[in-house]
This record gives sequence, C-alpha cells and structure tokens, in this order.
Amino acid sequence: MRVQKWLRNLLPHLASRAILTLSLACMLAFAQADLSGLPDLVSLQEIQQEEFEPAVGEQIRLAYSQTLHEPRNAEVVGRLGMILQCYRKYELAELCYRRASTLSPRSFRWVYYLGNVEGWTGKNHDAIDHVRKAMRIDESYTPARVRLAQLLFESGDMQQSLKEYEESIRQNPRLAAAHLGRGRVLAARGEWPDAIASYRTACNLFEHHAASHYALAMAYRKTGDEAKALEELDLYQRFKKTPQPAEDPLVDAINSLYAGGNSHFANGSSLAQQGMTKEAAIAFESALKVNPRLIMAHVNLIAIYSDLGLPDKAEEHFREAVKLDPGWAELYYNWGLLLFRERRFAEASEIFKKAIEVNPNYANAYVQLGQILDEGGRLGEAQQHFRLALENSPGNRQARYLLGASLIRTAQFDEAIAQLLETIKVDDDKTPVCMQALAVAFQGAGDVKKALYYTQQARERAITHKMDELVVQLQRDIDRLSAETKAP
Amino acid sequence: MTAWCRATGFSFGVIAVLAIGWMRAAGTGARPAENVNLFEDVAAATGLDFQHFIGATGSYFQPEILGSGVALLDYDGDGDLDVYVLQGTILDRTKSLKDVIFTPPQKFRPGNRLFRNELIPTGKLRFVDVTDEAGVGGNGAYGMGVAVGDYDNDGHPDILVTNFGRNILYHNNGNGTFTDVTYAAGLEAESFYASAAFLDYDRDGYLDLVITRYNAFTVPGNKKCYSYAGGREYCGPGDYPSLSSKLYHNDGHGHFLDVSQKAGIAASVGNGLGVICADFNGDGWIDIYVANDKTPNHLWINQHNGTFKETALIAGAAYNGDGKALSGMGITAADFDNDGDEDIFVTNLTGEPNTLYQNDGSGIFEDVTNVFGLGHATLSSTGFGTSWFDYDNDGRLDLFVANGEVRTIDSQRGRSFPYSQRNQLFHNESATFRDVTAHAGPVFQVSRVGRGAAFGDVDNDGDIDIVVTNANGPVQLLLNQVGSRNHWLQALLQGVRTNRDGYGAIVVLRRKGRPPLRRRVGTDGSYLSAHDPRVHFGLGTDAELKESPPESLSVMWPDGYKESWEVRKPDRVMRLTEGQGKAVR
Repeated sequence: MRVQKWLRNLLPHLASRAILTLSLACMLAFAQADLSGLPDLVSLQEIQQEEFEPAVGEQIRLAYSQTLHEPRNAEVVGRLGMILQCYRKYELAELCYRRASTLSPRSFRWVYYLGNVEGWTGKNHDAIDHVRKAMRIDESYTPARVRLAQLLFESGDMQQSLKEYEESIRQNPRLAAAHLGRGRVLAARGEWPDAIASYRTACNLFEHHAASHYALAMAYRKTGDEAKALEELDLYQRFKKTPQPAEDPLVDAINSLYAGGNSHFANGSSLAQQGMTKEAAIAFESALKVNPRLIMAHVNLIAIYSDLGLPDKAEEHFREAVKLDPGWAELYYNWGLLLFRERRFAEASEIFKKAIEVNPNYANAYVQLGQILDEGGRLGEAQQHFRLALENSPGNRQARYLLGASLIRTAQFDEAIAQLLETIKVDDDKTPVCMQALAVAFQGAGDVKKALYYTQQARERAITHKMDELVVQLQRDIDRLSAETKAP
Repeated sequence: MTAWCRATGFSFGVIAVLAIGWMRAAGTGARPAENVNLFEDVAAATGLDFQHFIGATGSYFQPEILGSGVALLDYDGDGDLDVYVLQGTILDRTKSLKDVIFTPPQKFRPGNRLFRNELIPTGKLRFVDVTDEAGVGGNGAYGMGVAVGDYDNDGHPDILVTNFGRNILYHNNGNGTFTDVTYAAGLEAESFYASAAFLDYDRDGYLDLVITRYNAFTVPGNKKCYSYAGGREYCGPGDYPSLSSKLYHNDGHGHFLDVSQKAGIAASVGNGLGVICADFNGDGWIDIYVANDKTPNHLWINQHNGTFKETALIAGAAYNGDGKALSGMGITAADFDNDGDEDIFVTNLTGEPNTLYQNDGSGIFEDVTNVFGLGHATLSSTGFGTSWFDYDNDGRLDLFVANGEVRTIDSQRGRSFPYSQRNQLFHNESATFRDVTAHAGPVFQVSRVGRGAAFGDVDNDGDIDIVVTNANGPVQLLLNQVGSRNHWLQALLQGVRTNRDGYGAIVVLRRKGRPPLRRRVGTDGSYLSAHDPRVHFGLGTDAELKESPPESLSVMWPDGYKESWEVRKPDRVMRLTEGQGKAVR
C-alpha cells in the first residue's frame, strides 16, 4: 500500500520530468533541425591562400579565425561577412550573412545585409525576399525600404517600387535617395513633370547630390528645356566627385571597416587639393605605413617634398618606388620636375627620357624635355618635343604656349600666331601671358594694330587677376606700340 | 488506393494537355520553347579548331585580359562565311613558351588564323585552315580586333587587324590571298588599339576607318596593380592615361590619312573598347559611338563637313541613368523597338548593369535598362561581345552577350584561369527582354572567358549563328538550331555609286498589316569583331507569314538615294545592287 502510494506520488513527478525532458529534447532537435541547412564556411579556406595588403590580410584572417573558433556565433560570422563585403568579396560575404541570418533569424542586420549583397550580385528575387524579411523584423529602418524600392525598380516592377519609395518618403522625407528613386520610377512611366519635382526635392535636400542633378538634366532635356538641362549637367559635373550623403548607416558601417592604405591616400589627396601640403605629406606617409606597396603615395610625396624644399626626402621616395615598381612614368616625371627646378638639366633630361620610354604618350614629359632643350638653345629640337606633346595631348595648353613662344624666337610668326590663338580660347589666369605672347607674334609678323589690341586685352585680364608686375610690363608695351602705330 | 490512382490519372491528364500546349506554343514565336537546345557548339565537329593563347607570363600585361576578336567574312566570294580569328602572344620579348603560365595545347599554332568554310561547294559545314596560303597570320603583335570592308571597292572584302602594337591592313587580292599594305596605306603607327569599323563618313564612296584606342599602357611601363583587398590583379583602364580614337580618311587610292585632329575626334580622350557607326540623329549622315571603359562614352555626330561634334553628355549616352561612367566594352546598335531609329546596348563589368539606351529618333537617348528587364539580369557578369539579332526569326531583335571576367572570381580562386562566366541570351518580348539562358541548352551552361562575338548565317540555313572567342580558350561556333523553323529573308547589298559594301545603308522590309522592319548594313559593333554583311529579317511562322507576307524591301543608300524591290518569296537571300531597284521619292 505504501509502495503503491509512493509510486502514485512519484509517477506525476516522473511524468512531468519526462515531459520536460522530452520537451527539451524536442526543442534541441528542432533547433538543430533549423541549423541543418546552415551554410558552411569551407569555401572561405581559400582566404588563407589569398594575397592581401598586410593590414587588410591581418584583419580578414583574424576575423576568419574567430569564426573558426565560434562558428555558431552570428555576430562573429556576420562581422566576417561585413569585412569581406568591405573588400568587395561579395560571394564570400553572402555566405557569411546567410549563415549569420540562419543562426540568428530574428536579427535585422544579417538578413538585411544578405539582401543587400544579393542585390549587388544580380540575385534580385532573393534580394527582394530577404530585404522584405528584414523589414518584417523592423520596418522602421527606412534605408531598407529605399533599398527594396531600388531592387523592385531594377526588376522592372515599377508599381511596387513607386509604392515603396513613397512610403519611404512618408517615413523620412529627408532621404534624397528616396526622392531620386521616386523620380526615376515616374520618369520610366513617362510622368516627367512629377519626376522633375522629385529630382528637384532631392537636389534641395542635398545640393551636391550629383545623381539627382544628372537625372534632372535628362528630364529637362526630355521635356525640351535644353538650357535647364545644360545648367543641371554643369552642376552634375561639379559635384560628381564630391562625397555623397551617407543615407544608410548600416552600409556605411561596412565601408568604415576598411583598414587598407587607400583611405589615408584619399585623405592625403583631399588635403593636397586644398593646399594643405604638410598635412597631405603626413597622410601619404601614413598610407605607406599601412601599405608600403602604394606607389601613388610615393609619386605624390616626391612632388610634395619638392614643394616643401626637402629634395632628400623626395629622392628617398623616388628610389624606394623605383625598386618597388619601375613601370610608373609618373615617378620619373615628378622626380624630373624636382631636378628641373634645381636646374640640374642634364639629369632631368635623362629622367624625362626614362618617363617617355615607359610611356611614349606622356605629353607632359615631352613638354619638360622641350623646355630643357629650349633652355639650351636647341630650339628646333625643343619645338619637335612640343609638337610630340600636342600629338599625344592636343589640349595641352602649356605645350601649345611653349611651342608658340619658341616659334617666335625662330621668327616663324604665322605659325606662332596659329598656335597661340588656341591658347586664349580659355579665359583664366594664364590667359594674360598667352595674350602677351600672341601680341609679340603679331608684332613680329608686322601687324602692330593686332599686337596693340592683344596687349591691351592682356593688361585688362592681368588687372582682373591682380598680376601687378605683368600689368606694369604690359602698360610699357602698350605705350611703345601706341607710339609705333601713330608714327608716320 | 483507388482515389490515389484516380488522382494520379487526373494528374497525368493535366500534364499531357500542358505538354501539347507547350509544343504548340513553340511554333507561334510568342515565347521560345523552353529546355530546347537553341544553339549547339559545333566548332570542334566542323574543324574550327582554334585555341586562343593569352601569352601570360605572370606580369599581368593588360592586353592579356582584353583580347581577342573574330570576323565572319566571305573572303573567297563563294557565298558562305569564312572565319578569321585573332591570336595573342607573349608580350615580354625576353620570355619564351617555357615561361608562360598557361601552356598552349598540343595543336596550338601561333598567329591569327583564317578558316575557309567549305559549305559551298561541298554542302557540308566544314572549316579548313588556309592561313598560310592566304598570308594573314599577323605580324607577331598581340591581336586585338578586326574590321572588314572593301576599302578599294574591288568586290573583295579586305581586313583590318588592330593590335597592341602595329595594326595590319590586308588587301584581298581576289585569288585566295591577301597582301599586307599597312605601310602603303599609312596605318603603321603603333598604339594600344581595340575595336575598329569601316564607314563612309564623308559619302565619297570610299570606306574610311575609325579605330578606338584603349590607353597608354606599354610593356616597359607595366604597373603592378592590386585589387581592393590588395591581391595582384590586372590593372584597370584608369591606371594608364586615356587616349583618343583615330579617324582615317580613305583617299580612294589605297591611302588612309589620319584626320583625327582635323575631324575633331582627337579632342576627347577615353579608354575606347567598342565602336559602332550608325545615323543616330536621323539626318542621313553616319555618326560614331564609342564605348569607353570607366570614362564617359562618346557620341560623335557627323557635321557633314568632315568634322564631328561630341554630344554624348547632352544626348544622355555618356553615362548610365545614375550618371555613372561604366566600363563600356561591347556595343550594338539597331532598331530593337521598331520605331525607326538606332538604339544602343553597351556591355559592362560585373556589378554594373549592361546599359540599354533608347533613341527618341533625334539622337537623344534614355537609359531604359531596368524598364526592359536588363538591369539585374546582367549585374553578375562582365559582358564583352554582343549583338541584337533575331535568333528565332520571330521578327524581333533578341540579345546575346559573351561574358568573361577581368578580375579573379573568388569562387574560382585556385583555378589556373579564374575568370569564367556563362554567356547570356535574352528573348525580345516587346515590353521586356527575358533571360532565357537557363533554358537555351547545355552550351549556355558552359563557363568560359568570353570576349569577341561575330554574328552571321554560317550554315546558310536562314538563321543567325554566333562565333565566340574565349580568352585563353577554344573558339566556339554556336550553331542556331531553331531559327530556321520560322521564315526569314536576307539581303546582300552592292553599292555602285556608294561604297561597294553598302555600309551605312538602311534596309526596310514592308509587310502587309504590320509595322516595317528596319536594319542597317554594316559589320561593326560587338567587341573586337566583325559580322556577316547580309541584313536579316525574321518573318515568323507559316501562319504569321500568311497573315503578313513581305511586300517590298526598300534601301536608302548612304548618299540618300532610295529605291525598292518587290519581295516575291521568303526564305532566300536577295542581292540588291544600287541602281537596279525602283527609285523611290
């Protein structure tokens, strides 16, 4: 009886335990069944054999070894995907995202990244599915909706694309990409006035939105307003190299993972363009610390150290770069410019010849060689080199000006005039000097009236550009020429 | 059990009805039959035995990843198309065959090769290598592209070979042999040339030449370039200075004068790879469109006075719809939408969609790539040779793209030449181009490194075949298996006052009750390649032919003279000689 009671008391306990155990087993089995389709990362073994820039290789291999240690950690696997995508390894990134999103199906990020990368590799239907799935997890992230709209547009589903763009705008009216995309759909449907309005909104939101200016130009042209089209094309040309608005923070997070030397190089280039030479040098040196093979950094440092009056440092970079890769004509050219500046003409000449040997179309190298020959009084040969420069680069204004000036010295005034007339088609701070030379050529050809005219034009422009010394010189020429024209 | 059998029987019934319906649909021309071998590669079976050799020695010289092209031409005038294929070589003259990364196969022969088609007179499609007797093996330079045209109007097609190095102009002697007349013609200047085209830009009756140039790469100036992650790769187009295209005027006495500067062509530089000549603004004069790699494309509009004006930017043909300069490689132009003007399709790199520019008739273009379904479908491939052609003879122009990468494909890393991709075929369904690659047969499941593609009726059965060259791989002859099931008409023009080939002429086929079909005479376009000079029209099924029989072919010759010919019956090649038709006002 007691045993029976004990058994009776034990049974429910056992039953509940059994139920619990069974439940746990089912859950585990279910969980494992879910992961049975887990993409493996075997293909990524190839990464071990790939050659990378040192810092990049370190970053990728560290991330990869972390995934080997924690293959079921979605964050670790997903982060590897982000790093791979950062270096444009989309196939491998897709694999990682697929695995990460399987491991963590409720994570917005991994399935969104998966859809994104599928879109970039042309798997539009899969991309649309995955971005939609991401939006079901979190529909507040508007850039995802914009991306979905774009994918639908690329698939030719204009109606759905428009719907998503309009919903994106409703959620966040300040996304220029959404307005641009809406415009593109409306344009595809032939609804040009509305398309123009959308493009205009995008441009108003972000003045430097090059793609919107381009789209607006095409729309104006389509509707027959060529003047506005040209205006917008002008803006597009101006802004196309400007950094564009960062409207998808998740995608920007990928780009920010870049560890190679190029980001320092890009920074250096930007600083150099702004005239911040010392800062640019630091940036280029940083680029080389990260990637010693970055030849362009050496090329730029030769020029920068030359400007800073540090020829020894310039030479250091020249020698180092030539050892790395002797095929860069720009290396020889920049070094040659330094030698030219220091009036080491014989050495400069050899270096420019080397630049031409490496690149027989190198117009600027011909120009420099021509100048050296001109300095040495070898005018015929100098003219030949200027002509070679023009053959390779008909728009090379410096070559044309120097040829014109040299032709004046060899009394070939008619040809000098023809060459120099081309140089004054552009109106900038070089135009006064070009006009001055043209005036001399006309005078040599016996046309004092034209000589006077161009000297006066040159003076006006020199005043505009605040070239005081030149203004004084030109005034003296005007006085002399005026006297000549009045003389019987 | 009984219910299950009944259910199964019902299922079989449904499948049978569907299958019959599918077979019927194959004959209507509405949608292509799926899972049919649309093309078969018969190169090996017909003796078209050519293996391209890129000559790579580990220095990653740019020409290695870009060449080479192929031409279809009837060099011996016997009525069938012969094949001329270009070859690479070892660019580093200090190296030899023992230094190459990819050892050529046993049957490899250096130099370009000419294969004579023996269809006429034997009746069998068979090719014989006649390179040595013809004297067209090349000059040792790296073969890039080929253009075909009868530049001296003697009735025999001549060949221009573009090289990395010195080009070659071969004059066809009319007796199975050619003479290298490059120096006499004034075409000996060396550069990095790509596609070329013969055109009569000044309407003087003689074919002139336009030749694209890629960039200022030289072997001594070879740079070491790296991928974004830092692995060694072939350099991109922008790693060397861009160059302008070259325009040469034919003086009618066998000499070509470089008029690039005078004509204005030299004013704009780019990394030219593809070129096509057509009247884009409908003013009756031939214009030139150049596809540039990562620089804006050029649209040179003929000013009727020996000069050209570059208008691509305002015309909407410089960039894609996003305002980006893409990696333009291959190019084709035709009236794909039957609205009477020349539209343009340009092939681009992986990650960039190929671009479809629709012409409004006045030389203004709109990027309609996504509208016609060609955006995402082409993102995953790097496209080279391409053309609009009616592969199923349903009257609409379809698209083929030869694909092959220029950068290492991660999934192929470890293979000897990791750049292979599948070619693509798109069926024109009026409002869209449907990617039918997956259903076009086994040959479209083969991945190679596609480059040139020449289109023409190689077996003279009334449908268009394709010869594809593959970098460091075998040439493919994709013989069309389906087009000849429908009706067709071809026309071969002969100019008398105008250039003998009739290049630049517009041929319009009028049909009862249907819009006319318009084709331009020319052999240019695609990538580094030259096509069959015959114009081709698909006329559809028996029922469609009966409903809308062809009535007439009219020709507008390059000088503006128009005449027409009655079409008495389909499924033949009509020879149209200038002056022998009925004049049209």
